[in-house]
Amino acid sequence: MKISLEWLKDYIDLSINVDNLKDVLTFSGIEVEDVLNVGALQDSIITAKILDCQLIKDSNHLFVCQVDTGKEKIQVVCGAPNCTNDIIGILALPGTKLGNQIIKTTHLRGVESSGMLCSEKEIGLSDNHTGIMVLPPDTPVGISIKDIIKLPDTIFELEITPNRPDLLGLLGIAQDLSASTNSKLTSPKVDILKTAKESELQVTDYLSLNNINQEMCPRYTAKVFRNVSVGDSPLWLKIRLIKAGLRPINNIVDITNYVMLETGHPLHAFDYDKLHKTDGTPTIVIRNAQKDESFPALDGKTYLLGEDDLVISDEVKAVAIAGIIGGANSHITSDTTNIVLEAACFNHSSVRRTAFKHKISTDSSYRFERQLAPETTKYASARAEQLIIELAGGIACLGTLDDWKNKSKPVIVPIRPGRFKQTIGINLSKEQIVKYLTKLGLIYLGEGNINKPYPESGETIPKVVQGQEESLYFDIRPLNNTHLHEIEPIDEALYFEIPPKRVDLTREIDLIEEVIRLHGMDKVTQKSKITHIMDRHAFYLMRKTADYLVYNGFREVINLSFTEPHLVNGLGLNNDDDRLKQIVIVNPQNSKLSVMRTNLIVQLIQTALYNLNHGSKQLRLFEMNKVFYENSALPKSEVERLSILWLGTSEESHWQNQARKVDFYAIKGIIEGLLKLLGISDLNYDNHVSEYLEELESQRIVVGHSLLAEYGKLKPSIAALFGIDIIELKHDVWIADIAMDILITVTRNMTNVYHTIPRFPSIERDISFLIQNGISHKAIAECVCKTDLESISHMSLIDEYKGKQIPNGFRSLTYRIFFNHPEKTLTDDEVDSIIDLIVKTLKSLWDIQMR
Amino acid sequence: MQNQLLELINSATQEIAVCNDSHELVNIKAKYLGKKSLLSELYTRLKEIPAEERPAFGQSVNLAKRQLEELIVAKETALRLSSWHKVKDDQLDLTLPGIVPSLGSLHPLTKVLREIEDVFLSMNFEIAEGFDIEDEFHNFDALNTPKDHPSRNKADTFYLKDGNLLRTQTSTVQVRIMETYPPPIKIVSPGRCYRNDKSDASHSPVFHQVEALVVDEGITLADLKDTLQNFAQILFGNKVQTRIRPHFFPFTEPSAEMDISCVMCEGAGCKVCKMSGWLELGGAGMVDPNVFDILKIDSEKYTGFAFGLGIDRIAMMKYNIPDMRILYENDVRVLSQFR
Repeated sequence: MKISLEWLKDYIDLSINVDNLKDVLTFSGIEVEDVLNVGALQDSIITAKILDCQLIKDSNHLFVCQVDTGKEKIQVVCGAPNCTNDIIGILALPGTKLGNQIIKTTHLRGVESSGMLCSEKEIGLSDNHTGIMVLPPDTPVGISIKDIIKLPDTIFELEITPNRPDLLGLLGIAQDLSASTNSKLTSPKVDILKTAKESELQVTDYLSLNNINQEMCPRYTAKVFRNVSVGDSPLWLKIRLIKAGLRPINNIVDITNYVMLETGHPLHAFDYDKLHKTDGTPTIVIRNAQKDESFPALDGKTYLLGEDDLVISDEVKAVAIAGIIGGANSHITSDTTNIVLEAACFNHSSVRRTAFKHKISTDSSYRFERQLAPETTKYASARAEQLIIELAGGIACLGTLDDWKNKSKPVIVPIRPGRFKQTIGINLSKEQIVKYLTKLGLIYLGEGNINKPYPESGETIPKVVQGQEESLYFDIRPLNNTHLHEIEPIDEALYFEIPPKRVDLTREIDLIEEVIRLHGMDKVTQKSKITHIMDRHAFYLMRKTADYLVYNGFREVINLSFTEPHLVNGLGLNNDDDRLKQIVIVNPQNSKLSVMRTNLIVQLIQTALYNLNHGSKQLRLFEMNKVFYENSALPKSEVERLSILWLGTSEESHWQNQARKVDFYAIKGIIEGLLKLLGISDLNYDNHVSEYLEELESQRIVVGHSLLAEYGKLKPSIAALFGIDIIELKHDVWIADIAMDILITVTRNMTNVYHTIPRFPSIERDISFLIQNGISHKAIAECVCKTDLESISHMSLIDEYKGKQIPNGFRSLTYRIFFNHPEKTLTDDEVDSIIDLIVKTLKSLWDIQMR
Repeated sequence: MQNQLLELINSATQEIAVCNDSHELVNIKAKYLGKKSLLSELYTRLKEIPAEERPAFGQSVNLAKRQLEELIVAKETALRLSSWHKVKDDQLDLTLPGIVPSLGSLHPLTKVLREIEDVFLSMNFEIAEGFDIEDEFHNFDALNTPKDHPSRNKADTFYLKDGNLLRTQTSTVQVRIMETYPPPIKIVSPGRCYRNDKSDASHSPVFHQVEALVVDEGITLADLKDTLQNFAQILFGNKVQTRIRPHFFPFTEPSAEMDISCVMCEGAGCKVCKMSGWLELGGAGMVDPNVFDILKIDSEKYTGFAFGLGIDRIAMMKYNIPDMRILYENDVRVLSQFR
């Protein structure tokens, strides 16, 4: 729903700026979808009269217009189809800035044009660009336009939640804002009955009413106006409709729309003289449509109605689909002189069903679908009457036809401040609660036992109104002793009578919601805070690492922190190795448990031996735990470590084929897989491994200056020292050792974000090279990728071959290269030329041949 | 002409059905559906039919055309797939085992520890890490342990050359957290502890504990019982009962020991619980105001509870492991039993 701030200010004294207003609306539950600032217009945009308008020679749509600006006559070229003589339009003089465009004196088809006649869109008023905006004929010529159309203005596009039909008009918004901003309402004074009294014409002499379906139409009211003059609406009214996104049609239709926007209650007017008269007076019948009754609607379509659709009709034909759309057979035209004004209330489910079934959505059906109260018809009708008399003249017949049989009882709802605190968590005083709710238009009846009789006041009880704004509702449901006697008194409760149009307020919890909504949910404070003691990153990274190993076949072992002092010497470590700086226990149980372990490897080898001795020949073991050593550089002498021992086959052997033995690439792959899982890339490899590993079949990974991991073959001599006979076993022992503290550090602030996938198809090429020994895969891969950084997305090694056809001292490596350009589909020729370049480069660098 | 159409449909259907070769199928398609086919001939002859029958007949020709097209497409697909999916003469032995990827296992202690951590995480606790190597202040002094308390003896506690010691309980983490963070605090801290106990069926010089500590305004013994009961029921199942009995620890007052109803006999009495129906789970209590005072936390404003559980013992209860030493033997025949 679009609302204009300038218009809204008719109903409320608002002293806050637009940004604050947006926040107030949003945080009181009225979501602002868009704010459109319609800027101030320059003084060089003025009203001007088109004196003479001629098609330019050789053009079928451009007009040359002689325009009176009040001061002078100038010539303007205009392409609008509605451009014609003797109308008053809006002229932007040369030098005016409109959006990004500066109006200049130019020539079009050789005709000079000194300005531009503007559409609504061009001055930022609406999206309408079908023609120039035409002002009423009595508009003065040559005055600045900005005062006439009340700019600057701000248009709010609001999303009204389905539970709040009361917000479907400006008055409702104003009422809610008055409560959330504590502002004063200034609702329009409706002064009626003036003409009717003079007219002495009784509505009953002109029209009768027959409501056949009370359930689908709880209330129907009709007024009759005679001798109205249908014509254009005044400019201010038109402008307001345009700002709200509606098209002006004629003064009567515009008034019904205006009142709908103001009150939220749709009205409908139709031509009295088009109603069928049997014996002098027509009758309005509210009835269900007949099966397959055809109805010509205002939108130009003809609808085939069914028995569950409600129509407004005369004694012969339907004149409207109730609450949804009027008929082409009875709408207000310039010839209309007598009108019927309908203000009614239709059942929301029925309107929704019919609107959905026939795929019609109108401003009227949108509102009725959300359940309007029968009480609000009276104000809407009176407001329209006032405007009709004011703007279209005519005489209002005395009285209103009003069919309203099943009136609702007043709704009285209690709210306990204690319950508010219990639900919301903050305390509000009674006075605060009463203030918020009465500002919303609820009537405060009192506290505690309010069902005492009021003997002297008779039937109707004077309401306890404290600080109550003048009510916007004419039809408050009459309250009497009987209603109060039905209330079971609660000591602490504050009792409120709910205005009819707040159909959503029926229970205490609804009132609690209203109060906190107005008070502000941001005033509810956080109760408990997380202390961030936990290192969640480290915690979950360690779990993930252990899980990875488990799902790749490794078993976790847990060894004691104590060990035998001399065992670590068996690893043959360098004298300055931290792992030799064991922490000694002063009072050990025995010598085998007399120092803290500095590594996990020794105990893993011992565990392997234990299990080999007990008949398990396939071992994949890991331990993730703390190790301890004396190191003054460390804040503490304990760090997390992960060690892996692998012995046997690299995969589970099964009946289809013989599994391969574990080799360097298997243990390397396990570590690379882990690092890939954790998102670590850009690693430096070298072979300066610890002394217990075979130098030629081991490797280490360094990140910055820290050793992240080392892995490779355990020296058979060291295995033998710990009692594992490699020759007898026919398997090597493979070890990996990972510094968990480094792993945690390097992954700590890593992000994982989406990258756009390539839009163009990828091309693959396989290519084999004959390579002299000593040239590494890594060197070749880096060289290939560098050849064309843009087009080569990645490459993978798919084969290494040594043997027949390959000369001694050489090997063949086969790569699959993936080409993918970010901005185009690569052609075969383009890929071929990149490959040529790769081949040339490799040849010149290392004398590598393509196979 | 109606008969002609029927005949045409029949023969086409027949030919498509018996066709076994994709080239032949192309010919059949041309014969019946091509530009000079029998069907298009029918179209050209439509005007021979009386005008009132023409629409109906036209429709049935269209229908026939669509049916034949569908039959041909289906046959094309079938012929294409048959060359890929040749059924072998020798049948698969579906009872042969599948190729199962290697599966490892977590150590039973880790499994139990993770469960315990997850229970506490779900109750909004945070996990705090501590140090194995501690000093006397964090292990004893700050926990209100008198200077001459027997637990400080070398017969009970392992000492290091520099005077530090190996913590005897995870309660050291309480001290480290309360030193660093102001209340509210809601943590659990799992970790290794060391006591000079000889290895036997129920003791190990190295063992595992998890410590819980909650400090805030308004924390009571009732919160301790709540947490304990919820924890035990999530870990051991809804039927488990918990109780606390008065006991003594220097750093809690009142102090208590926590029991759960025996997980084997559900409280009826059995060998595991020595016929008592209850198993001891660990120590608990309200944080002693002295501890707060030592750590400069306002003991009038804040109260707290703490409890410690033996993970090894819980693992033994949960998995019915009779001897604690089994946990540290790392026999893969044992490890492979835990999934």
